[in-house]
Amino acid sequence: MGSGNKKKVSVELSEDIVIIAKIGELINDLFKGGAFNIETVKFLLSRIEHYPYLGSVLGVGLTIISLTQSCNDMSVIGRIKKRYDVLLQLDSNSFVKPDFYKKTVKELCDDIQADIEYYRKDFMFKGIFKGVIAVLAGYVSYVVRTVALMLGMGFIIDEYFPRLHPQMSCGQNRRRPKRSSTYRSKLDESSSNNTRSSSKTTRSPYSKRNSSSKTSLKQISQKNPSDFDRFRIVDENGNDVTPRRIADDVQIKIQKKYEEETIGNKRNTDNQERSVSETSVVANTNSTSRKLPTETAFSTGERIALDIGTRILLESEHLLTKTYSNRTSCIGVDNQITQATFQFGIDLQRTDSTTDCIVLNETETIFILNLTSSVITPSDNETEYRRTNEKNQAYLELCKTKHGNDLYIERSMQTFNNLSKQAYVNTDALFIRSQQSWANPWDLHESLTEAKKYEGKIYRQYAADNNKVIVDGYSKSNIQKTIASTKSSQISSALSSQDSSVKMTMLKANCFALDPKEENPLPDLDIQPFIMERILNLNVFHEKQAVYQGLHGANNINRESRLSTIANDDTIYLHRKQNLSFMKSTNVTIERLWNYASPLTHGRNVSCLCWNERNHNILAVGYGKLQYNDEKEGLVCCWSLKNFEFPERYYQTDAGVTSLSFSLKRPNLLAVGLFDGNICVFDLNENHTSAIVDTSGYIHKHISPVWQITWNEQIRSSKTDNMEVLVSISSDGRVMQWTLRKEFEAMDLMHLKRYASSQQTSENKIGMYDNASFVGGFCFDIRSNDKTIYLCGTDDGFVHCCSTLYNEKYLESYIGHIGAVYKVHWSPFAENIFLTASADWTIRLWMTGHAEACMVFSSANSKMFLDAIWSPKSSTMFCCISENTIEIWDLSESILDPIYVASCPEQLALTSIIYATDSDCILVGTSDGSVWIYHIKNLSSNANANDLLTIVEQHTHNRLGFLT
Amino acid sequence: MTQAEVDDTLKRILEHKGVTGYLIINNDGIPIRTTLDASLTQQYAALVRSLTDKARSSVREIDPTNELVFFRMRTRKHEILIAPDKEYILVVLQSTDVQ
Repeated sequence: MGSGNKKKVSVELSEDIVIIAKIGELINDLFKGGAFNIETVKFLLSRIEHYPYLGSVLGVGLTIISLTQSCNDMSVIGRIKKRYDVLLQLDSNSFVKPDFYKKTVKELCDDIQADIEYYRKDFMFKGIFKGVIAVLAGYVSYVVRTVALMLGMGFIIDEYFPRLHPQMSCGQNRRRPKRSSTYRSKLDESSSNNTRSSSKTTRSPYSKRNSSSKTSLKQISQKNPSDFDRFRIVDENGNDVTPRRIADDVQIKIQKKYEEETIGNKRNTDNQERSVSETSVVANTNSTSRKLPTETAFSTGERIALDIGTRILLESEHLLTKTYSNRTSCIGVDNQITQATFQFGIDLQRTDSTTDCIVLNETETIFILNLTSSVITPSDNETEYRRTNEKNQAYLELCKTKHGNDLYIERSMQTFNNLSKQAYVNTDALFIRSQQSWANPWDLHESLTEAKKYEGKIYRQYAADNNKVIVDGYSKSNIQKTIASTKSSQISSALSSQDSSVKMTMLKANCFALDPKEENPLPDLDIQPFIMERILNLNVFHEKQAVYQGLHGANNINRESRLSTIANDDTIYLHRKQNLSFMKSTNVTIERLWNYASPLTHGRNVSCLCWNERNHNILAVGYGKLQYNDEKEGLVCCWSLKNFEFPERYYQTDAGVTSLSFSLKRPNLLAVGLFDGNICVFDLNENHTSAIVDTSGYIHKHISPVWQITWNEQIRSSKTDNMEVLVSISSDGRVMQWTLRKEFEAMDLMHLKRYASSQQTSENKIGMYDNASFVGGFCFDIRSNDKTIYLCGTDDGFVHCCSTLYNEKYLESYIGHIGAVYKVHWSPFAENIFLTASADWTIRLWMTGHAEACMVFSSANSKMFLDAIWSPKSSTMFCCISENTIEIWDLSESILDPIYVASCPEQLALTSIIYATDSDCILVGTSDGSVWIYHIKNLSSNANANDLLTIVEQHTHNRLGFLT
Repeated sequence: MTQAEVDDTLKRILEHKGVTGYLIINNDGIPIRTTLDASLTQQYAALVRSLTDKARSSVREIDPTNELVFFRMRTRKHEILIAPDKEYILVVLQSTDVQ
């Protein structure tokens, strides 16, 4: 390509470009509001002689505008259609009648302009039209720019063309349906006038111009004879210079290319293989049924308008591509053959001489135009539409002022960025904890009582010294105390239903216990095992307890089940009982219920038994040998009726225990007489196991075993309250009275002497006794209705009646026993009668005023009687123990023999006996340390004092009578 | 009570007729001493704890000054004796047919 040629081309092209730009400008203007520049139109019209196709372009464009503005108006469409027809005529014949053409066009333009002005008033956009036209406009302007670029760099574009080629065809394919319909509609309108054209003349230009396309053209002509049935213009060289529509040209090109690609194949099969769009191009006349989606949306007039729009597209395309296709064909024939090149032909006379050709191709990724736009119509959204319009206006203003305006300065400034700063603050971790609580009535009660308790105590102190530790300690100890007190009250209530003065608090520290500092894995198990043991005892011994309590009904009812359930155990038991007892009387039998024994007491000798006067469930048992021994230790156990297995309290003493007594006024005090002459007092409420008072340091203490000790209420006229004193008797021959204040205060009540000459008043029949020698006292009993009178039993067999007020001599002496008198008991019914048990194997019944025994009891197997006790129920009954037998006497039944004799099966020596306070049971202490409880069954005797007196008097009379 | 005394008492409890075992649970329902097998202990510990709380609450609900000291359940096979305290609960199982 020479430089001169290039220059020429550029000049020629610039003319085209100006026109194209004008068209684009016109269309752009129209888009922006329908107001186009009339100068532009005039310019284009002035060029219309040289570019006859411009007539079509302009006419079509203007028609589109009209249509878009009034597409709803069918009359307008009709008018436009007419004008279109005229334009088409002009178009086709422009070069034939330039004058007419010029004039008509001018008129037309005026007419159109008037129309446009008219319809601007109700100007409306149709979305799809706008889109189509926008595409066109953009395409046009894009093409213009691209062309301008290519002109400067033609050699580069040349190299690009082959590569761009396929995509171009693709782009064309996209538009082919439109074009085909355009073609068809145009044919419909124009072919009727031009049917006279023959196919022969049509063929000749092509055969000359391009031999390779000759056959294809012929085929097309043959197939679609109407295609080229128009007028022809032949130049002086015989070339066909008939202005050809783009579609024809394109069709020819495509057909040619298609033929080359499908050599040797049948056309029909090829057609089938081609894409649908290409097939439709080839058989475009038959594709009437094929409609665009847009076509279906519009009326006939609109479709025509669309076709016209498409025509604009194609023709402008044609215009653009024409010049460059010529150029391309100069560079390489290959491109011309394989590319769907638009060759406008020779109708463009001014560019005819140039062979330059530009082919624009699209690739898969590069589109020549891809302009998406959003369309807003006022009917859709009024405000949005207005805003968009304003924006567009503003942008236009900007565009106007931006370039070529001196005031417009593009300037950039640098601003400071705010420096961001990161600051860290450490905070304590937030612990989220959810708590819930539920307040019971007793919760409230507790908090209330606690608050009351410490009100004005703790908090005042707290305020005073502000020492929390102390307060904590104080309150803690207080709480512990309250807990302890509540516990003790609970226990006491459990223990005793009558009085809570006997407080059986648990021993916190026991002298036999291990060191409290020693590690204790179960520190707070105070109450539980204690209670548990009792409950278990009650479970196991329930029946016997019932029997003990005198619940005979329950006993009888449950007997059957008991026998059935634990027959094994019971049979042993029954055997024992049979061994134990042989019946003297069918009426009265005794049954052994249970025994108080524990490993602690095993092997010890039970020396004395004592019930608590207030709480009849508590039994104090003293353990110690009655004879002289080297036993160093004694033991006092306090048993509860609810626990047979282990004593509630136990105290160890320095010597064997010989006597016990519970205080009446203060039932928690237990006086203990010891074998070594000491007297101790234990407080059962206290936790420590040492005696609270003892006489060990006292100079006047007993020096021999204290055989009996009793609390005696002392009536004093001077004082309102009755002092309770301890009275004790010992083998050293002294009866002493101990007043318990801070220490013991002792007072000798009586020095037991041998029946001596000093006691002149009372010696009637008894001989003289050694003055100096003392006799040991074994027992005493204070008269219940006169606390100053008491009886003393001595080891020489005498029983003396003494007064606490008078310690010089005996009031009376009762002579008869030839052995030591071990026990003496006033009858609880008859006030003048008392009973003595003696080592001389006899029990004697005495009456005051009678120096000799009224009755003497001794049975066949009797031995030394250690004790004889009156029954609390019947005045004529008493029980006594002799070695290993228990004898029950009922004077109303027999005065010669006991009504019942039971022997201990283990042949243990029985050492002490006591009646149960509330029931028909007797408790018997044995020499092996166990205390057996026997239940006396079928006890029917209910004799009163008179019965006893009657029997005694009768017997006395009989004996007197017998003697006399 | 000291440890020795408690131990003695517990020993005596075990020697009672029909007693199959005992179990001491702390406030958290964890058995701290047991003579039962593990699974039974677990079960009793878990169940007795809540039962005791309920029983105690019931007693105190009626009279806030009152306090649950002991309760027992007699079942066909056992008698379950439960002695709750402030911190521990002593549970003893005793066969029913002993009595």
